[in-house]
Amino acid sequence: MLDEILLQVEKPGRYIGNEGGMEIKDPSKTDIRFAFCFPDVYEVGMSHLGLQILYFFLNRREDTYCERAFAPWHDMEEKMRENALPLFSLETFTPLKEFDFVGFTLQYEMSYTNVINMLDLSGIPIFAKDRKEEDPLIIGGGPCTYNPEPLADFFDIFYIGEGEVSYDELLDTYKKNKKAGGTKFDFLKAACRIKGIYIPSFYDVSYNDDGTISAFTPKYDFVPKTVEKVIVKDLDKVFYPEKQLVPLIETVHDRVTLEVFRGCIRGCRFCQAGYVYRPVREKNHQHLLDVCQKLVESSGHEEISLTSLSTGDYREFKPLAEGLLEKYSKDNVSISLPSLRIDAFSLDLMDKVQAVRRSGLTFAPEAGSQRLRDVINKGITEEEILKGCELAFSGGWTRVKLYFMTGLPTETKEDLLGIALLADKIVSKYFEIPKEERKDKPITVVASAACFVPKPFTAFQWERQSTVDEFYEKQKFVKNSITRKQIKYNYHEPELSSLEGVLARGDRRLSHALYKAWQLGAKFDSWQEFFSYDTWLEAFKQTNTSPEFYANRQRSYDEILPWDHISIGVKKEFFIEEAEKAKAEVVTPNCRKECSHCGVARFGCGVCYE
Amino acid sequence: MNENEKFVPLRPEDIKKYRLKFEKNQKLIYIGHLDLLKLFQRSVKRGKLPIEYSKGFNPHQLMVFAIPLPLGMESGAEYIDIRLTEDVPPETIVSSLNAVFPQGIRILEARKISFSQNCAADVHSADYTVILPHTGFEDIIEEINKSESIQIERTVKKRVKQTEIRPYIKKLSIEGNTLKTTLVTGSQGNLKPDDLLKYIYKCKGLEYIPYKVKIKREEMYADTEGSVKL
Ligand code: SF4
Ligand code: SF4
Repeated sequence: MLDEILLQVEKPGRYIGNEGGMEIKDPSKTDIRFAFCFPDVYEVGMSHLGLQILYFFLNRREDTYCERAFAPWHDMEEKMRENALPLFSLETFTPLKEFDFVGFTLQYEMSYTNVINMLDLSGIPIFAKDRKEEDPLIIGGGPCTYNPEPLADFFDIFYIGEGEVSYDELLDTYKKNKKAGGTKFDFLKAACRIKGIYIPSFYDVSYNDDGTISAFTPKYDFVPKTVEKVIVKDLDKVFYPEKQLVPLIETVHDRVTLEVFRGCIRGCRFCQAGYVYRPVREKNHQHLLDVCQKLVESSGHEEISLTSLSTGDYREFKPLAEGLLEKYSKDNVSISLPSLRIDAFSLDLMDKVQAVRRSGLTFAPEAGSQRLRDVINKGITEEEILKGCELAFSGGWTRVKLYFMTGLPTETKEDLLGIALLADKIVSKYFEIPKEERKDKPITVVASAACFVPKPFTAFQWERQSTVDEFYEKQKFVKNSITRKQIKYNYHEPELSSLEGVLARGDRRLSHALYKAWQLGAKFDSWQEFFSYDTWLEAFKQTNTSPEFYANRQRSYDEILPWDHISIGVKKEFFIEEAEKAKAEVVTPNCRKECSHCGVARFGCGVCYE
Repeated sequence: MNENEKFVPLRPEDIKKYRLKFEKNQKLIYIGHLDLLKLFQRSVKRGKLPIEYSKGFNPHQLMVFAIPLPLGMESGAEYIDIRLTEDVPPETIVSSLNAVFPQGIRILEARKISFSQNCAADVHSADYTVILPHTGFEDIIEEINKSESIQIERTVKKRVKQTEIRPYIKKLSIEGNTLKTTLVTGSQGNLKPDDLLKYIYKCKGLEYIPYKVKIKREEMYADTEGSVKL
């Protein structure tokens, strides 16, 4: 029947597995079956590095078979429901219901309804409390688990931190419990003692009259009060796959992805990734070149991409980039570079790499004025940008992309005007070049403005988010202040960011709204063509949920935040200090310049000990 | 081009061209032509074959398929010509590609061909086996075999056109629900099995549902009569 269905859907290659590098095992000879689910369409999920790493990490265990599943596209879902075909794994076409674990990687809030939908398509009860002994354990990992509360009622386990650290212990514990004939509860009881493992059903939450949390308490005495993230200390020693799954159909990124470090030294105050992945831990460039060679050979990919936060901060960037160029430029393997600080070296490098030239120069000042950049601790100055552009223009570059955010804390009209002014100055810079040298090429500056979403574990976690109307007003104001025809202005639709703002800082009560939104038809919310804001507003209304309470409310420092029982190592006092420094427009130096004692040094590794 | 790098015309013996025959079945029938091309490009690299690249701004591997295989159709005989920079024993080509191919695609044989050959130009007909969800087509098959002319409607560039297809049907037989046919195939004339099946179903007054039908391409030929293998 599957075959007949596959002939009736768009891109059936999404549902057939069989990729290069796919693990083939005999499920009857493994003790643990783990379904790794990415709650988005195949092409998106397969481009995700985390999936590739964890897939091979789990499969390196002989007793475990990790298989994959993705959110079926609408047409496929329709056919599956029509024919009562449950969601299956791509490796062996086994229904997800038959697995021991069904794991979801939670990369963005807007994929939550897809999680619910995938559980439903699998015939697995959606709420954890409704699941029986024989149902799989539902486990979540990834960046959204730093505040997993809106999903708490759907999951049995959240894994907080980097997968390589605790999965072995978790799976060993599972196996032992299964052999001993233990129950699910027995397993969860043992699991909650493992580092980084959070069992949401082991906690009670109570609320004040004003809706804020009054207490968050463990139900049993064996349950830890806080769960701290786990991280890999030495990235050169930890497992890293030497092959990649190579999809049979075109995906978002068909390339070798090299992770050069984890974490970020910069500490931009709005950036959750910059805080939760602290401290920076680098890999040795020689080690990377070796791994890269193996990945290129085993995948046959013709593009290599360096993926890390702020990759230009890598101390061994030069030898790595030169090593890659030397090795691969003659082999028709291209290298895609991240956005770099513009100087003579990086320009020369970018010149050698064709892929970059097409897309132009990129800067992420995030805010239009120096004042606001100080507030958000974005250590990039106008002078730096203009100098970089000048250098690039005289080297023949003519496209510049600028990334901004609107709705940042303390933002005023002057700051917004700054967006237009900066773009304007860049255009002027171009016309300062003698006419003969410009070769009549037109210049384009694209200014792109996203809507600021305050996130947990940032200096702005207490801030109110602008409302949809406020965002529209700001966008209009910026748009109207841009007059030059060489400047293009793009902006994100605020509705999506607003909803993201609700879910990002939500608590457990939001699960009802989420469930309702799904019932009303919400799914693939990160896809503009499917996102329906009205559906969500209706879901909020029907469940008596106030989105404003979550998104647009200023919190006080002493409020119990829904994610307070999770620890990323950075102390709350540090975030308060940062929030105050933001108001005072005082910058904090990056980790390499000077340690600000955020608390993360107790992990005993990385930049804190360089 | 470098100044002292003079343009030297290639001599025919410098061109190292190989023709590979492969099968595509199981789940791999669900990947389309462009994805198959990508798969070949990557596999040639993974298998470390010394593939020749085109010259110019956007170099690409020199390989050409005889004719695209429609998504969903199985094949026991697809052909691709590839150019290498040096001679490689055909057995090595077969084994190095098969070692890296996923399940569902396999090289059956490889042979060196002359520089002027090109499978896309060489192919003239193909054999197909079709498994139908219905039986009882014997009369229509007999009628078709006896007829001199068959007109079908085909939509070409959004316009419905009458096309004569009889000369394209070289052999046609049926046994139970298994239909076998040899059809003219290639750039100089082409009849898709689907078009023929649609016609047969229409004559029978039945609805033709493509996904209920299993089609397999069995072989390709260098002549229109289905006798000289590609
Ligand atoms: S540079 Fe700033 S925005 Fe970028 S990852 Fe680091 S902290 Fe986040
Ligand atoms: S302890 Fe210091 S060096 Fe380490 S992450 Fe925090 S601020 Fe950076």
